[in-house]
Amino acid sequence: MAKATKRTSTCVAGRGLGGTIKRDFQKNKVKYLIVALPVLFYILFYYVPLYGALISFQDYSPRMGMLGSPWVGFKHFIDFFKSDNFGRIIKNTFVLSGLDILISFPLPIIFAILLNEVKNTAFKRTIQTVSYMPHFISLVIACSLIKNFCAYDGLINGFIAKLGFEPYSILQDPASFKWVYVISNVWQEMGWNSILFIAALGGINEELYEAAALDGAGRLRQTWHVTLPGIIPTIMIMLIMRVGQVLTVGQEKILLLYNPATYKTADVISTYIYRKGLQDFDWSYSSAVGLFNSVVNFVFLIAANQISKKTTETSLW
Amino acid sequence: MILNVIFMLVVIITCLYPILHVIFASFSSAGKLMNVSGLLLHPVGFSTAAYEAIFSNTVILNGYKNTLFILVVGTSINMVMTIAAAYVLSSKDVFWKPFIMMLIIITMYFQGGLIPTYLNIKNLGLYDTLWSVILPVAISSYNLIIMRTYFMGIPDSLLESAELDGAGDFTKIRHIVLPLSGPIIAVMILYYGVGHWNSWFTATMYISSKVKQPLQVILREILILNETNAMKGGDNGLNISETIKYATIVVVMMPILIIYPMLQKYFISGVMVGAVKG
Amino acid sequence: MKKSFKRVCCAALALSMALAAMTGCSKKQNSAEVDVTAAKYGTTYPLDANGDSLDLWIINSVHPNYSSYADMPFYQEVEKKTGVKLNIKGPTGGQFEESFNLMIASGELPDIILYDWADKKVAGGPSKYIKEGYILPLNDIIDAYAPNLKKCLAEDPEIDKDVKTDDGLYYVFPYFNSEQPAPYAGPVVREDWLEYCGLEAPETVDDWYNMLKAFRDKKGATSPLIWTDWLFEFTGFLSGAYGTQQAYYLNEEGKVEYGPATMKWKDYLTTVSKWYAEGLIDKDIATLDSATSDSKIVGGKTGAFIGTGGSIGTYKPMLAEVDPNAKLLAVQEPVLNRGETPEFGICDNRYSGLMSSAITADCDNVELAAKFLDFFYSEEGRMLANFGIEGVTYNMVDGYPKLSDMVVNSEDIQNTMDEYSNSEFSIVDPRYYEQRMIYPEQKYAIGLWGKTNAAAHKLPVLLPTQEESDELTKYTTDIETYVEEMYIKFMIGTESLDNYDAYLAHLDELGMQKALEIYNTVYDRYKNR
Repeated sequence: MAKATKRTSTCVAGRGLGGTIKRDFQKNKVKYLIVALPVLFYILFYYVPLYGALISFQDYSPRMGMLGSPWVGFKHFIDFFKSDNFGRIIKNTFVLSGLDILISFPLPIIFAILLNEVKNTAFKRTIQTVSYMPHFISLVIACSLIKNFCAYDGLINGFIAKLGFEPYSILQDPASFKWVYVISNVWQEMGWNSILFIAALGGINEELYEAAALDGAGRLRQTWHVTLPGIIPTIMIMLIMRVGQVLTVGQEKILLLYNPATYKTADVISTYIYRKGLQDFDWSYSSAVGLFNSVVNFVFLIAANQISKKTTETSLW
Repeated sequence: MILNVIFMLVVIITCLYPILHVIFASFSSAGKLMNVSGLLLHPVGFSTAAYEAIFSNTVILNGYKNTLFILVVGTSINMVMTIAAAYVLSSKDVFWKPFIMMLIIITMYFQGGLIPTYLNIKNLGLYDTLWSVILPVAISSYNLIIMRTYFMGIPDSLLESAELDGAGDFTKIRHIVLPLSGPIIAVMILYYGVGHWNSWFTATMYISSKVKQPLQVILREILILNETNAMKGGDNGLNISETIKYATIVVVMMPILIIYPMLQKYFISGVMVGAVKG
Repeated sequence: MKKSFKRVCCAALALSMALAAMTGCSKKQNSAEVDVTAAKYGTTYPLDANGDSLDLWIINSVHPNYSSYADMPFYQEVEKKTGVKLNIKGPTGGQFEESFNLMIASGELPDIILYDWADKKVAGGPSKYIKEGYILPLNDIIDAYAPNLKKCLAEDPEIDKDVKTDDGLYYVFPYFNSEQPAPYAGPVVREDWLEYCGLEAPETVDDWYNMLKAFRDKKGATSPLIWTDWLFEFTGFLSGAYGTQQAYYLNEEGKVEYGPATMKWKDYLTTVSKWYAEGLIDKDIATLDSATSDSKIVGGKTGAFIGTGGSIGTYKPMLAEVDPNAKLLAVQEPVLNRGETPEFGICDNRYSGLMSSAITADCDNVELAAKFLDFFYSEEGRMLANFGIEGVTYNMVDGYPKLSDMVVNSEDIQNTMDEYSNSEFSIVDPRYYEQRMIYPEQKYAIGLWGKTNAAAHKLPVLLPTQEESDELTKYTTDIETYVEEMYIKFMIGTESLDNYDAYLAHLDELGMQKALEIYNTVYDRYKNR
């Protein structure tokens, strides 16, 4: 598997760039033909409208169009950086996202591996089918269930009271918010996110297990030496992409779960922009914040990719 | 092993309950449901009013038809495009590959935004056609990268020996890559399919004729109407927007539940492995 | 490869088209010199339109039971009555703002746009759209082609002042209420609980305090008082007793004031935090959604709440199933001293600035558009817009438009009426709303909640300029975030009221005084219209 991933980085060889390009084209004609349509797709649907990102530097109005709207440089970025809660929303975004990566990311992998150990096929299929279902419940309903469980007289406080502690309004407590957010993420998405890893496990060559078994390896050692290496590229790629979305948090969900009492820990970039948009929707401002998000995310992606390339030889490019 | 089974049972309970809750609630009478706080273990005051409200809608069948078209045609295009791109981007010794990869990754981060994208759709003549919700999402970069990662796991030796036998790229895709990729193809069909099935925002932006709207948009409109009427106040009797909310989920989820097992068998038990000599 | 080269060319072509689109729609800058002399469509309805048609964009979606606007009975009847062929488009899936902006950005304007023209989401307000040549100023047009609207405005100077810009330009065929709209929400208590505890309907803050304590102690209510935020904010419940509300409003001196930036707000917070601490207010008050509060009300955990006339109608049969003795009673907003009239309460403006029809600068048949819209201000048009089709949705009984059995017996009155009527083209007739209140409790509630001085505090629809609204947005998001946050903290006791002065000081740092200054400037401009 390691060998397979290494291939990406070895492509330029030979005398002179021109010669290389020519020979490469000769050899890979058909491949370029195959990839032409996808590339065209990206140009047509992504690069053609890309000029729109420039409205971040304008006071854009749909009436005036891009050529008619005045240019204002970094005004919107500066406004954003100067807003009262800038430090807080950046911190909250990183905390929620970081916890999510630490907890919600590995659990589907563990779940997939454990599920792989279940021998009874019918049981296995049932669990798998049931586990992804919460993914399909709309957030509005999922969050109303969460609110219900977290209420002062709800299920969770019932347990808390039984354990001899004082019940409290969980969703009004700033310290609890991140746990509610992350745990409910696990609940809703673990099964769905594990599907990919289950498929990756399905791609592992059965002979490797047989060979390991012949060497006298038990289940645990097989998992360590065969299963994990088998899905490491998938894990790493998914991790890189997740880290590359570090500033992206579940906006809709936070909007449904937070309240002024928990702004301190729950208000993130996107929810702040949402509230601002309710006052007066500003295309340029939200575009500027979006661009800021993208740049930060992109930097994280590159960093994660470099680290992964060095440590596991898995890389996006 | 025992621990594992217990863990799995916990997963089943925590994941099954919300679904049961949704199903029970959708069949409850709106009034009785109002009195429920906490767990719902059976429908309260059985009622099918929510489903009647949904299915009495005159354009709902149109919605199903449009969604089905988007689903089948859209997912087919997705698969062809994604496999094509993933194959090339996973092959070795392709000079422009890193550049194409960058070209793609950049689009995951930097986009033109709503208005330019809309104008683009209009200029391309896709506005108010079903193609406007199919072609702009012909490839998901995220899925493409996943697929490419999987393809890169296919042993080089297989492809090399095929090449020695004189196989071209199309032959290699058909006879080596695809047969070895059952699990990932099943997952991709699921990802893309569910994506099309759930998507509504682009349809509200790019499709103006109601008869061309997909199911999700129509369900949304039923829900919005019932909610705003409840907000306007002055209602007497029942407001069923709460149960409609639940019924919508059931209506949307059922087809997925039916199709899922067919896909599931391709990725849950490592089907094709072992067939390959490494 | 050749093939793909061709495709790249196609892409380049698309790119250049997109560049052309970037220019947006440089509209004709001639501020509407409309020729109002030639009148060719006559003055009686149906107009002699000779098959001429109008393009409309309206903020309402197609009714879910129909596949297009043209299929809806209302628009069919409108076409018949006005003689004008209509070609209607609108948003789908609830995406009003996006749809509107995309239409504006695409540069293809219809003849008439029904939208929230005086709302803050129309950046820069209607004057800006007029100045930039998007919609027409209607003064000359109304004079020439809209005798019905003209008459309505002449008879109603209050509305006349509200529906124009600060420069005196009419920008829409306005959607407004023929009289002060009835309040739709206010405090409601369990009458049977009052009786059980031997109490009268509460009037003062002290009455409320005693009542809630009695509910807690004698009826075992775990959440004696609840509300969901938006209703609460609008009614100014309890804070009104201290002469303030969580909003911008007019104070006694006729200046714009923001409640949470005053000392009166502290008095209110003192009371509400005491109530919270004593368990008189729901513990989860900041997180309540409507489903949860429904279950608390119907489940008998709550004895007092902020409800709507509609919710009384909804809860009544539900409560009866749980507890046959249950009775709901609307009560007035609390006051400090017995006999006072509440200062605050729900109060809507007669003209809200929402959902009114503008004629665009692209309209090449202004006469037809104006005469079409003016129809809805005629007696016939007003009846159609409000009550639908005579003989189908209503019948005239002794000069009163009574909703037909078909409507009254339908599962959802509003839903059915939406198929046959749309008052947004016209003037709202109160005789429709009163027929939706079927229980005597509802009628009583609406009468009682209306007895406040709220109208004296209510700001009319203001039209800040682009610069003013830009400046306001800069302050208000941070101000409101801070206010909401501190409000709940003061209430649930995680922040001590000793810090109230520091709170006020921080509000000023966030630009409170500047925001108030802008509000007062804009309001002064309104006064001078």
